[in-house]
Amino acid sequence: MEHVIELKNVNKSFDRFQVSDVSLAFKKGFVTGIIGSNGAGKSTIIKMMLNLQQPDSGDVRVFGMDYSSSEKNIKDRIGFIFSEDVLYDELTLHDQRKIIAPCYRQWDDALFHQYCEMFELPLKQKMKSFSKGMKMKATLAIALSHHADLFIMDEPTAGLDPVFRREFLEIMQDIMLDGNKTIILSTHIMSDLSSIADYITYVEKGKIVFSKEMHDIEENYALVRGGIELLDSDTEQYFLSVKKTGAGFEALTSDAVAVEMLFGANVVIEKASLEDIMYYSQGGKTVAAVD
Amino acid sequence: MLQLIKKDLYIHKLSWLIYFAMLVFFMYFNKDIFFVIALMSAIVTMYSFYYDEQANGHKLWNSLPFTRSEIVSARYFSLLVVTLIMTVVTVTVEFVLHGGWNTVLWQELVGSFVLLLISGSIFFPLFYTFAQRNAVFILVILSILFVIAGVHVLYYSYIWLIENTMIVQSMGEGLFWSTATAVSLVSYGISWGLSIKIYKAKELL
Repeated sequence: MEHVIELKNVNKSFDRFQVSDVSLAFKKGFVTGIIGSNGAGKSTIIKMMLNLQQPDSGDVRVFGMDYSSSEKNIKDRIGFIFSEDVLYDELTLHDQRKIIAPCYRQWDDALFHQYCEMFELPLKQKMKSFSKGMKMKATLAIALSHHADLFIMDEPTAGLDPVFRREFLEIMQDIMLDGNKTIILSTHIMSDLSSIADYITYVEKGKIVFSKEMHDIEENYALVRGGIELLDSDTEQYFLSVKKTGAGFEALTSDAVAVEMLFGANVVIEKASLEDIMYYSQGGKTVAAVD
Repeated sequence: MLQLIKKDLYIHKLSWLIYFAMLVFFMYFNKDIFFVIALMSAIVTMYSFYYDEQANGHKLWNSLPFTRSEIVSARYFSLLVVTLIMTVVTVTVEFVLHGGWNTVLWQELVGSFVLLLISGSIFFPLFYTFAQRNAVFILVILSILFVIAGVHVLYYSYIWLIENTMIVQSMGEGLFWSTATAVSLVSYGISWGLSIKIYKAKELL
C-alpha cells in the first residue's frame, strides 16, 4: 500500500524534551489520528512532517520525496491547519485569499467561494472580528481550496465549541469520500477520533507507544475488572497496566481474547476507549481530555 | 517569490495612507529627502516583520509552497522595492511642493540607499535570530531609531570628511558615493547569506 508520509528513525532533541527513534508510515486514503497527552511530542512530529522543524537524525519523506530537494512540490499538495491563528488580523478573508491563492498551482476560486458560503464566512470583514470558530473555518476553507492530497492538522479542534467540532468532523468525512485524500491529525480530544480515524498512533514522552488500526484497538484492547486474588506474576503479564485497589484490580489488556480465555466469567471485560488506553498506559495519571 | 514580495507590500493595506501622510508632512516641513526616504522605507520594511510575527507568519509562509531561502530573499528584495517606491514618491512630492529639486538630490538618494542597505544588513539577521512575538516590536523600534541616527551620523560624517580631510576631494564625489554604495551592497549580500543560514536552522515553534 502506498505511503503518503514515512518517518524513519527520526530523532529530535530540545533542552528538556526529545522525540526518539520515531518510525511511522501513513497510508494513502486513510485518516490517522495522532494521540497523546499535552507535551507528548505530537506537535513536534507534525512540524517535522511539514518541515517546520528538521530532525537531528533520521529521514522524513512525503509523497516519496524529501524536503531538501522537493519542498515546494510537497507543500503544494498539503493542506494544513493549526490550532493557532495563522492569518493576518488586519486583513479581510478576501485579502487573505488574494495573497495565498497565487501560491498554489491548483487553487480553485470557485471551490473557495463555495466553502466560504457553506461556512457562512464574511469575505469583507477583518479577521480580528472573527470568532475562534470562524477563524478555523477560514483556515479550513483555504486548506480545502487547492485540491490538496494530504491534510495535516495539529490540534484542529482545540478551543472549538462542540457544535462546530461535530461540523468539522463531518467535513473531514466528506473529504475522505474521495478515496484519494489522506488526513493526519493530532489531538488530545479522543472523542474526535472515534468517528473518523482509521489508524491511531499513540505518542508518549516523545516515543511511539503504538500505531494501529482503529478496528484492531477496538477489538483487542479491553478494561478488565476482577478480584485481587486472580493476580499473580503469571496472570499480570497479560496486562499493560494494572491498578490495584483494596477490593480488586482494574487493568488494561491489548489481548482481550486471551484474557477472556484465561479468566472466563471471573472478571468483567469491557471495551477500552482511547481515553482508557492513554490513562492506563501512563499508570493512571489524568492525561486525556474527555469530551 | 514574487508573491512573497507582493505580500510584504499588501499586508500594510490602509497603513500606506498613513505612510504617505507622514511623508508629505515631513516634506512640507522641509525635512531632507535623505531623511524622509530612509525613515519611511525603514518603517514599511520593519513593520512587515512585525505584521508577520503577529500573524504567526513564519508558520503560515513555511507551510505554503516556499523554501526558507525564498522567504528570506523576498524580504531582502522587498527592502529594495520599498526604497524604490519611497524614492519615486518622495522625489515627486518634493517637485510638487517645492517646484523642483536641489543640485545635491542625487547624493541624498544615494545616501538614503546606502543607509537602508546598512540598516538592513545589520537588522535583518537580528530579526531572523531573535524576533519573537514580544521582541519583534523592540527590534522594529531599534531599527527605526538606528536609521534616524544613521541619517545624522552619515550626514555629519560626510561634512566632516569634506571639511577636515582630503578624502572626498581626492576621490571625487562620484567615486566616494560609488565606493559607499559598493561597500553597502557587499554588506547587504553578506547579510542576505547569513540570514538564509540563520533562518534555515531556525526551529519554528
